[in-house]
Amino acid sequence: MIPPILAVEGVSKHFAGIQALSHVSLEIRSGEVLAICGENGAGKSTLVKILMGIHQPDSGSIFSEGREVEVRSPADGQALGIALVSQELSLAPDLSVADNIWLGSRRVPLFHRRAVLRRRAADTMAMLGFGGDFIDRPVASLTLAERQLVEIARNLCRDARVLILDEPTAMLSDGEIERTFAAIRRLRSQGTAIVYITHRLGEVFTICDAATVLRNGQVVGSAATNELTRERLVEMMIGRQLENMYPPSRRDSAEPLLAVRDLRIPGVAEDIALTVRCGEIVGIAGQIGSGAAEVIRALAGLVPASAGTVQIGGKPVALGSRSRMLAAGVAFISEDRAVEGLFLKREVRENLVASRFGEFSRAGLISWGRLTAGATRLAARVGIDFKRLRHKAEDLSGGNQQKIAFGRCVDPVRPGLVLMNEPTRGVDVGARSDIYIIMREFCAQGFGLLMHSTDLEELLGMSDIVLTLYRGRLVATYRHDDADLQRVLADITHANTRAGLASSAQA
Amino acid sequence: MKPRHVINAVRALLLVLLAIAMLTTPGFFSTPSIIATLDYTSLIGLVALGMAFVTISGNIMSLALSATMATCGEVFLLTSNLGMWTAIAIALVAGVVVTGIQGFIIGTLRANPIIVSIAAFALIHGIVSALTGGARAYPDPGAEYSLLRGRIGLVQAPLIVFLAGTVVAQLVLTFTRFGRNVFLVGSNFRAAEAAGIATWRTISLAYCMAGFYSGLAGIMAAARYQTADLELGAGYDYEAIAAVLIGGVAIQGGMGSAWRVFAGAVVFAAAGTLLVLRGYSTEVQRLLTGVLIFCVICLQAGGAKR
Repeated sequence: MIPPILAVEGVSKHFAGIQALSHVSLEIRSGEVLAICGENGAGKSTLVKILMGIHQPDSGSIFSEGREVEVRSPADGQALGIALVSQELSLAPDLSVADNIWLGSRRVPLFHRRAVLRRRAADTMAMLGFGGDFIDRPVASLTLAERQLVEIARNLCRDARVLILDEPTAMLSDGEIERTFAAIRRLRSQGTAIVYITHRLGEVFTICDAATVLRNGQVVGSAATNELTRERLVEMMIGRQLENMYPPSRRDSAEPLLAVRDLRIPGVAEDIALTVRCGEIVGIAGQIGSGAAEVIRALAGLVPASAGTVQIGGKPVALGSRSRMLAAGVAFISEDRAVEGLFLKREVRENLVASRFGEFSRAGLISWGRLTAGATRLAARVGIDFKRLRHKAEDLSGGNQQKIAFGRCVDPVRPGLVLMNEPTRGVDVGARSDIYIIMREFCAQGFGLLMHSTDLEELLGMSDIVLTLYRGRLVATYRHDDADLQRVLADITHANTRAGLASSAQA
Repeated sequence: MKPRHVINAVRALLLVLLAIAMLTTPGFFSTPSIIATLDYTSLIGLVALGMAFVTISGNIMSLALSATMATCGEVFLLTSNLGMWTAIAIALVAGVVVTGIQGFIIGTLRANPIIVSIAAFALIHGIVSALTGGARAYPDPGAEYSLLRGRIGLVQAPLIVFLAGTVVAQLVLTFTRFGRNVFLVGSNFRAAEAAGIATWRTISLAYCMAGFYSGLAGIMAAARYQTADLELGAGYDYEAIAAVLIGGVAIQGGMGSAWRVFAGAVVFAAAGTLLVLRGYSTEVQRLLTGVLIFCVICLQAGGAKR
């Protein structure tokens, strides 16, 4: 039997106090697509960095075609033909596809025949499903999916034999995903080995031959995808059954908190109407680009161009100003903690009270004693250790950082509306269920919650009401008990189209 | 070794070198030399305190504070016939308005702060020259402002103003809502916006503070020289930036303190005095400013990369 093109045996890696990987073994053969699944923090990215030569393992071995190799640097990784295509692409937008493919390649001598290079680039792009003149187009004119495929071609022209694709479909629309899949199938038939990292379990079954599941740095299982079920895969990933993850709703209040009519965000969403009552969670389901995240941002007052009739607690509020919305009792939890959510360089304490210095000050003067007491109270409410109040926010884990964002919204004086985009992105499983409990506590106190998440399990698990959104328009409204995955998926992907069918397998 | 430790080690090394240079330079610890150093510190320090509000609020630096300083000096002398306190008030209001407008533009339009300050520099020069016809400003013959030129023992008025200004700036940064917002807006503008902080107001006010402190520097300088023109503040932008950076205020914003600016101004001025005493020309001093700024920027960039 031919030895696997790449094999990892008993690899462990340890970072300051954290066992990131422990005795991880896996192998991948040429012409195989291997999924690596696992929650955030399971060790996926550490494993990739070891394969790329960015980190060195503490123990264990790596084999290339049966021969033990050392991958001490990214250059070693490249020499073995291992290439990573990540979500951050490294293309020069103003250059053509062909130029980008060869840009910076050591295989291009100073004196070279351009025609030869162009032919190789064209052949590679043709293999990925693109016509002859594609290589002359400037990269700036390409879609994200096309750019990703150019990045793949670039690595193939550098003789990559093992391609690591890190969440390749995370930012793509349905049609683009289908195109990427077609390219992956062609690569597989050409004998390229592909390591496919994804959160979207449906894709594991659509495109991958085998799956290896990591949890807490250990391999919990490896299997061919045709021997796996979705439920089994989820169970391996999170280590328990899914149902007990979401605390039940205890809905009793029916007082409307937020009423929106005719919300319009030019070019993004039209004609949105929704109601959030005190003590309930309303979820907006929609794919990336559907406008769901923007609707939440607009209601937070962060989209200046938005227009519509918004009433909070019966009083009309004008859109377009975040501070006005805050004054009306609207909190906002961003999906991007580093960019928009937190002040990573500042103390946890300040992060917790960022929206409410007014509560701890008189005539503009702050009382630090009251501020610290207040921050301690908020930290306790969301389960952050008070010893960490003086730490910088960047030193906390993703889960604790997200708890800071929630802590900022805790307001015992006057329950209001909490808007959330992707409330548990980048949060590990344990902290995730803590956050779900916090969300239910908000409800119990009379808050109304409006959330958007591309994690449909979470959205359906938490929401009392589910709204579906497709291309900026509401499709349907479901009560928690009527909202099943298939119907919601059909709504948000318009599953009657071919592209929709492909992605309906994904969630 | 962590980058933070490297930075601290380099900083300690530089301070030791500076101390050795002070001890081995004859005359450094003489009264005239110390007075000259503190005097020099005071004017740079006042502009640097203003600059620090700009830097901490996330707007890197302003290249128009020297022009503001000169304008305020001229306004002070030209209105000195109205009485010292009135003239001071008018000059400070002028400074706050001139710089506050820049802050408003930067805060509301998210305009590039350095470009805005360059444009403001040109505008201030143009408008002031047009209004004064390019003439130097002199005090009203009957004007009385000897208080600003006085001293208590060895301590001269500008130093007292600088010391008080440092304390006030630190209090504002620590104990006012505005001050805390300056840190938050500077450390992450978008997060501040999403948290509902009125970012434009915070940035405008930070620039008002910059104008206020530059104005103080201009008034003290004009009172000393008893004349002022647009060159009154020449070079102060760069020296204030050097003092802010040497003090360890983060160039990317969101971190720093008035104490650090104070320390930075003292170190910078002491280094300048050393060069003078050792017989180096002002060109060498300018070279030193450049080298120091470069070093600090490299160190800070190295510290940010982890």
